[in-house]
Amino acid sequence: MTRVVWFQDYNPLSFGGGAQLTDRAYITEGLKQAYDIIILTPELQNQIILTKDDFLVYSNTAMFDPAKLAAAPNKYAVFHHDWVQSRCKWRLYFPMSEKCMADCPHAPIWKPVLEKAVLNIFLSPLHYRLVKEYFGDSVGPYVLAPSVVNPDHFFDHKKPGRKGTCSLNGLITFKGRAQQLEYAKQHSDESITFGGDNDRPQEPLPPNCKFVGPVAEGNLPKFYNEFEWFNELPDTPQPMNRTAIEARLCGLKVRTNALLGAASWPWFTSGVDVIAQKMRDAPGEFWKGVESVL
Amino acid sequence: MGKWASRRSRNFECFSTRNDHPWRTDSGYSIPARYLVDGLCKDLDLGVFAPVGQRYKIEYYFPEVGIFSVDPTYKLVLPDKTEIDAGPPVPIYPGVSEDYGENIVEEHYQHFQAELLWLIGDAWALSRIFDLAKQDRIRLVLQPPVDFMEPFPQYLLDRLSTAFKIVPWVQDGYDRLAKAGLKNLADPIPLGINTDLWKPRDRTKFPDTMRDLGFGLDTFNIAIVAANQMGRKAWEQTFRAIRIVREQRPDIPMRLYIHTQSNIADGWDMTALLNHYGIADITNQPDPYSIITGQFSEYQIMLIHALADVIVNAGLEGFGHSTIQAQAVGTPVIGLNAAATPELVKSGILVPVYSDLLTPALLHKVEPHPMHIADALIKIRETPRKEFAKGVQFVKERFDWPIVLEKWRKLFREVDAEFERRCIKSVRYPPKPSERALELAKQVTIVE
Repeated sequence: MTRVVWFQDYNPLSFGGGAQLTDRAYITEGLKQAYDIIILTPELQNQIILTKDDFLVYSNTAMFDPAKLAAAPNKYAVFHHDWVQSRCKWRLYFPMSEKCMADCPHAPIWKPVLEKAVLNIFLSPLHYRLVKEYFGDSVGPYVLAPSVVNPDHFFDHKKPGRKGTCSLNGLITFKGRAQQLEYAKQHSDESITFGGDNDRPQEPLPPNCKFVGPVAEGNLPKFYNEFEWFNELPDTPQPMNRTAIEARLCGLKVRTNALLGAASWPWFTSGVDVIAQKMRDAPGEFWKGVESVL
Repeated sequence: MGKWASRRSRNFECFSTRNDHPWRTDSGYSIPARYLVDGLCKDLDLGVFAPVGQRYKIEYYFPEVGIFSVDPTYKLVLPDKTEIDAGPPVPIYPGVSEDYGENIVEEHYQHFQAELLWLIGDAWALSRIFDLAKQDRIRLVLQPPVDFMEPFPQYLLDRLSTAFKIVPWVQDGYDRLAKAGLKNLADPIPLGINTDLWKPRDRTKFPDTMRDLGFGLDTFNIAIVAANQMGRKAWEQTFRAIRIVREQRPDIPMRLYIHTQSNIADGWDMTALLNHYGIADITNQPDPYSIITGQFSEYQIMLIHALADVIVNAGLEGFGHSTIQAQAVGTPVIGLNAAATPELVKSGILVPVYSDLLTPALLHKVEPHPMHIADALIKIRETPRKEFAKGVQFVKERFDWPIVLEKWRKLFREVDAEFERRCIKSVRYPPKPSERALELAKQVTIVE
């Protein structure tokens, strides 16, 4: 069987960022299917010898030299966790500014990597649509693979008396802080609890808002199950945002907008059981996509 | 995030390391660091990493009041119990060992949320920092001494090429690194000097210090202020030169003062070397305990330079602070005609390169001949001191701290603009969403 070498800036098995959690789910499924998978982080570049028969997955590779990635003689897939696999400060959150569309200094560097990819992997239909708009014909064959959330971990506890609205990381500027606070001001009778990070802790919040700080991953289901509503109101496009899926699986009503990648999936508005099944099926679908180009 | 972070008022985080604590050590690196931190902390958000001198705790320096505290929210309390804000602090990060701190530099960098690492140090002595820079885990502005000659080893060029900017000390360093193919060079920035402190002094007004140094009003007083390192600073050649002068010109009553650590690992046993060349009887050294415990202030170092008849700094130098320090106080200097020194000597004598050697780090070093140093010593002895007075103005016009600080400000402004242009500043400086994105944000979806 072809060996799969999974390029990642950080080891998905030991690092808990969003891209790594998604990779962990797909790598775990690949191992279950008996794929021979090696994780290649920047520190290991000189310690792992690649052969021309290896299939490469460039998953989250801002720390790798794009010229070397493009020059690899292997077949490879690019897993687009972000808008651009670059060192751009806007990498995770694409402001769609004129500069981005017309004069991005990173685009010429990464286009060659995309042009040679036999497969592109996107987190959502919105993610694909905007990257396609951005890179044009450089984006060829693709599959869609959502961030995977474990429905056995995130589910509705059927707790009585749930009320109020929550948001996770909604006070981060890039996650739509301004939209969240504007909503809070316009709905002053609604109690809103913000978990996660807050990049301007010194700024006072409206009286109906409360910031509770980071929520440990293991406590997230309990956190969600306290509330009736989940707000995700970005003002820059989000490739996916797993939090919206987590909230849906926990039975929350979701208020969001057209910039949320997760909400661009047709099944996002379906019932919780449908979403749970999509989550369970996603890793298998991912490897079917990879198998088609091996 | 530390509490102090919310007190930031500027928008460019610069994390500086040069391993020596700027205030708790008195080295050729730490004293300039004081001026750089004090001079630039109003323009940049500065953090300092000082593995040599700081352990176990992050300490906070409040430059506006000159106070150190482990409390980042420190406030001055007046006798009437009024609290006064001490201003934004500069955190001083600890090391876990007395070296360049490469084992923890990335963690500090992230904790400080730095935009770049500003490092003044030897490139050949570092390794992980360059790996981190290559992987873009840090952005590096490096000022390395170019105290070696061509050909440069390839490993060194590879390391230097990972930096966002290399800032040579002098034009010579710039020219030779450019010739070697480096594309990331910034205009040279020299070390600075406080010319309010470093100015000529009347030696007759310092009889006690003259006595401590072993200097007399009618003797020929030679001083060396340099690190005790084998293969550097031309210690051996200078001592031999003094012996030659002593033998050839017994009419010259010489005295020597050496300001260094007299017996350290990887250095000379200075007393043994002085005895070997038969000049121990005319030489004074500081008490080693005084050196180890940092009892010499910058003022005292200035006096050593000012009260001598000549400063010898004849090794191969990437800069050579003592070279400009001597001239600032009107004392002629003897330097080597190679690398940085020719650009820095207005008042003194350059001695030619005589021999070379290759170090285990594959660095080509060059050295002077003792006879040339001896000739220079005699020439300076026979030249009236006033003929070397031009160095004072030369140093003031080029190396006064306000001039040097402005060069660093200009560089950091350029780097900041370059970060912006290339969209590589951190996400703490978010761009505003586009009009199109804001329109899409209005298309609200509700899923019940």
